[in-house]
This record gives sequence, structure tokens and C-alpha cells, in this order.
Amino acid sequence: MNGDIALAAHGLRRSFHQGRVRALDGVDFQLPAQASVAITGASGSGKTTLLYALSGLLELDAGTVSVEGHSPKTPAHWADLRRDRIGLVFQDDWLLPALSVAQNIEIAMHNTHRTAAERQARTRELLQLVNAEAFAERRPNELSGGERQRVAVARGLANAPAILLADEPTGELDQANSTHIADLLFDLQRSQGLSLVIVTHEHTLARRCALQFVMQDGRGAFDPDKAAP
Amino acid sequence: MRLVLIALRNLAYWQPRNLGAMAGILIAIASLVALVGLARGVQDTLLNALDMRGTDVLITEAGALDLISSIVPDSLAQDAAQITGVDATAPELTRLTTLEDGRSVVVVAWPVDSYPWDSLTLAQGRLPTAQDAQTVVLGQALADRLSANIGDTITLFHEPFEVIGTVTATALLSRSAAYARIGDVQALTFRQGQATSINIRTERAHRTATLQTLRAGFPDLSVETTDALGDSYLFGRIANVLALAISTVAVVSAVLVIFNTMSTSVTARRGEIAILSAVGWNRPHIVAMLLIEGSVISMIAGGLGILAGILLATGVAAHPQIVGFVDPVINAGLVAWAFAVSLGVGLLGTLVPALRAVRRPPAEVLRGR
Repeated sequence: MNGDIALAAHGLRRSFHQGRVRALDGVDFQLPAQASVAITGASGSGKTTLLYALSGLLELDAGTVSVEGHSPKTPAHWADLRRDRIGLVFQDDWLLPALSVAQNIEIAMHNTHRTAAERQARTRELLQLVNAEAFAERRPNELSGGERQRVAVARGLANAPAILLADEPTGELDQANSTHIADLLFDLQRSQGLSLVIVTHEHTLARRCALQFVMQDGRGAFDPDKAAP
Repeated sequence: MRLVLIALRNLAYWQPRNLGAMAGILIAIASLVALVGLARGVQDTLLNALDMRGTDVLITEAGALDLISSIVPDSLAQDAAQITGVDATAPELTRLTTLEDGRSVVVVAWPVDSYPWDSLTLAQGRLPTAQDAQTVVLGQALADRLSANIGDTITLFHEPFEVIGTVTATALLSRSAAYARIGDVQALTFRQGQATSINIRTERAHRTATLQTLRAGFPDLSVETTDALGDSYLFGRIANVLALAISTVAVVSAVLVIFNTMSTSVTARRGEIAILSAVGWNRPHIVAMLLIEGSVISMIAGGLGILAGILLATGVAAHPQIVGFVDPVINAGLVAWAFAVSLGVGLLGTLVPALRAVRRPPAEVLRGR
């Protein structure tokens, strides 16, 4: 896959409040396979909106998104891609409060080809990967912010996606946890050949990405100081 | 992890919210069962009493408001007895009177040795004879209510009546009534020679033909089978309309409460729905999970609501002011109907907001956290 385009977007437009706020104003974006891109910009510049658009979570006014060469047209197709090819990590961990840590990870493997035993084995593997085995049976409200975010990363990786999209994954963490999560993401990106998109306002984290896509007032462009894709 | 297991874990976790939803459904279904059961019971209580005594056809005054306000000559019983296919007849004078404790009681009067007396099962004492004067037989429920024993005297129509027997019966009205000789009641209520109805027992094989002959023989009177009595009196028709109106109001209320409760419950979980969509769950799976939760809530609350409804109706029927006049009719049909309403509306009330929620782009919810 190296050399291919994992994610491509053309002419993305999305406005809110009857068109008064243009969150995306003709954005073109590309994510090379196995590369890492940081989407940066000021608050309200459209970073998160772009990430949602790239993952099919947002209805667009105009524009197209293709995932590994496929252009999903229906919500069902997008759901299949999010299950099989795209992992998501949110700023707010968005773990389901009724389920344990292990179940929160396993739930992402629902309706896949995996058997129950395989799902449980994969869950154990992911818990080990993010060093969360010790609190596998706890509920999210019993965890610290860093622990919850590690679980969210594990859930994002549950189905071994080719692409991982992370929205401010370290946004609400202290320095130690922030560094730990960032190390985890980049280790995974390298070891598993992930194509990684991170929305962040933290320069330290953005600098660790191979590419930087800067958003401003709904428009975006790759930072020329970093190699263009 | 199976879908059912996920749904059950959600139900367990969101206990306070689910208990609230259950309470709403429980109250709606309890009201439905109690109101419909009581409305049906008002009419069936009278019909059961007539049916139990073996009366197939009743002759009453045409256009009478109800059975008690009808007036016909008691001699009609002899005329009707001459008609082919009539097995037995008995004039009946039914009056409502007030006891010393202020409560009302139905007094049913027949000639001694007439066939309706055979429908009463003596628990104690004896039935009236031609030699008696102002004697009364009490239904067991009434005797218990009055703590009356054989030999005691009670006051009916401001006159003393000696209690000479107590009887049991399956029909509530029969258990709660007092039975006397028709001559005594006619004299005390100024209705000499009058009856409220003529009870007729027909030969089973000729019932339809006999009914037609009776109608032809008494064209100026109401000649109805006991099954059709509810429709033949104005009060019966009012009771029917009221039962229908109450049932409709109860069902509509239940539907609205359940629908609103389940809609609120699903709407409150838009965040979870959005995150399930974000991790790749497709819409049918999310809707299925919510429907499982909705059906469990509806079934538990519906079942408890039915039990509560039965208790409520029984409690209302036992109120001192109406005890003995209404036996709630809560049969398997009503129970099944109430359960179906609970489950059906619960599922529909879950499905509609669930479909609305899964159609909403997840980003709208995730951004708005």
C-alpha cells in the first residue's frame, strides 16, 4: 500500500447556521498510505469538521471522500468502512458507560467475521497493547482520563484498521499521559503500518507527524515546510 | 458479545432512567386494565346474575331506561307460560333500597316455588314458603357485610324482615342481593300486581322459535334474550358507550404515555447511538439493540401494570359505596390485549425515535457534547 493514497477528499464544503458559518469551504486533502498527518489550526477553523467528513460521520454540502480508492455513497457503506478500515479516537473518549473496558473494545468487533473466542482473544491482545489489562473489567467512570483514552485507542484499533483518525487524542490529558498516548499512537503507526490523521492544536504532537495540514476559516493546505504528500 | 447481552447490560446500567420509563408504562397499563375491567364489569355483573338463574328471555316494559325502572303486570308470567317452547316463567320485582348503614342493596323478589329460587345454593337456613311473611334470604356477601345470621332481623323498605337463610352464587350481584317473596315487596313498594320483568326459561331446542313467538305474542313489550339486554335499555346503551369511551381514553392515554416515555428514553441516548455508528455499527444493529431494550422494558412494565390494574380494579370494586354492584371483568382476552398494547406501543415508541436517531449524522451529536 505504500505510495498509495489512503484517504482523499476533494472540494469538501459544509456550512452551519443557514450558511453563516462555513466550516469547510472547498477543502482538498490527501493522506498517503502509512503516513501521518497532523491537522492543525485555531479553534473553529474546521479541524474536527474535516475529520468527521473524512470518516463519513458528517453530511457534506458538497465534495467527495474516497477511502483506499472507494467512494462510499451510503451510510451503510460508511459504517462498513468504519468497522473494517477506519479506526476513530475522539477527544472525549466516548466510551459506553454501561460496559466494561473489555466490552467497550469488543463492541467494535460486533458484526464482524470474528467468532466470540476470536473477539475475546483480540480484546486481550489490544488490552495488552495499550497496557490496560489491569482494569479490563472496570467501567469507564472508574478510570482516569489517560486510562480512558488508552481504551479509546484500543477500541479504534479493534478491527485492525488501515487508517486511524484521532481527534485531539491528548487534548484533555496531563503532560505525562499526553506523551504516553502520543508514543502509543506513533509506535502503532510504525509497527502496524497505519495511516494516521491526528487533529491537534499541540505543536509538539503536530511536529511528530510527517505532514501537517493547516486549517484556517474552513480552508486548508499542507504546510510547505513539511514535505507535501 | 451478543446483542441481547449488550442490551441487558444497558438496561441494568441505566436503571434510574429505565425505572422511570417502566413506571410510566406500568401506570398506563394499570389504568387501562382497571378502567376497562370495571367498565365491562358494570354491565356483565347484571347479565351474569340473570344468566346464572337460568333465564333465557326477559319481558320488560318497552323503552324502559333500565331493568329496575320497567313496570309490567305480573300476570304476564301466566300468559307467557302458555306459549309453546316456554319451559318456566317467573315474575320478578327488583328494587333498590337503602339499609340502615346507608349503603344500597338490591332486593330481588319472586313468587315462592318459582324456578329462579333453584339457582340459589343455600348455605344456611331455608328458602321462603307461602306461609312466611316478610322473610328474606341474603346473599352470602351481603350477610357477611351485615354480619347477619339466621333469625336476625334487618330493615328493608322501612319494615323488619327476618333473615331465614343465606345463599351462595357465582354471580357477584346474586351474592350481594337480598331475596324475598314478591308479594311482600309488592305490598311495601306500592306495586301490587306489578313486576319489573318476567323471567322466562325456554326449552333449549326451540329457543329461537320461542323468542319469535313471544315477540309476536307481546308486541308492545320488550322481549329480549338476556345476552342482548345490555343493548336494549338506555342505561345499558349508556354503559356500553361509557365502556367504549373509557376503553378508548385508557388506550389512547396508555399509547401516548408509553410512546413519550420510550421516545424520551431513546432520545437521551443519542450519544451512545452516535458512538456505535462511529465504531462501525450499521443502523439495523443499533435499532435492533434499542428494540430489545424497549421490548424488555415494555414486557416487564406491562406485566406489572396488568397486576397493578387487577389490584386497582379489585380495590375500587370493594369500595363500600359500590361493593356488590360491580365485579371487574379482567379475563385472558383483556390481559392479552393490555400486554399487546404495552409491547406493541413500547416497540413502536422505541422504533420511531430510534430510526430518527440513527438517521441523524453522528457528527451532529458528537460535536454537540
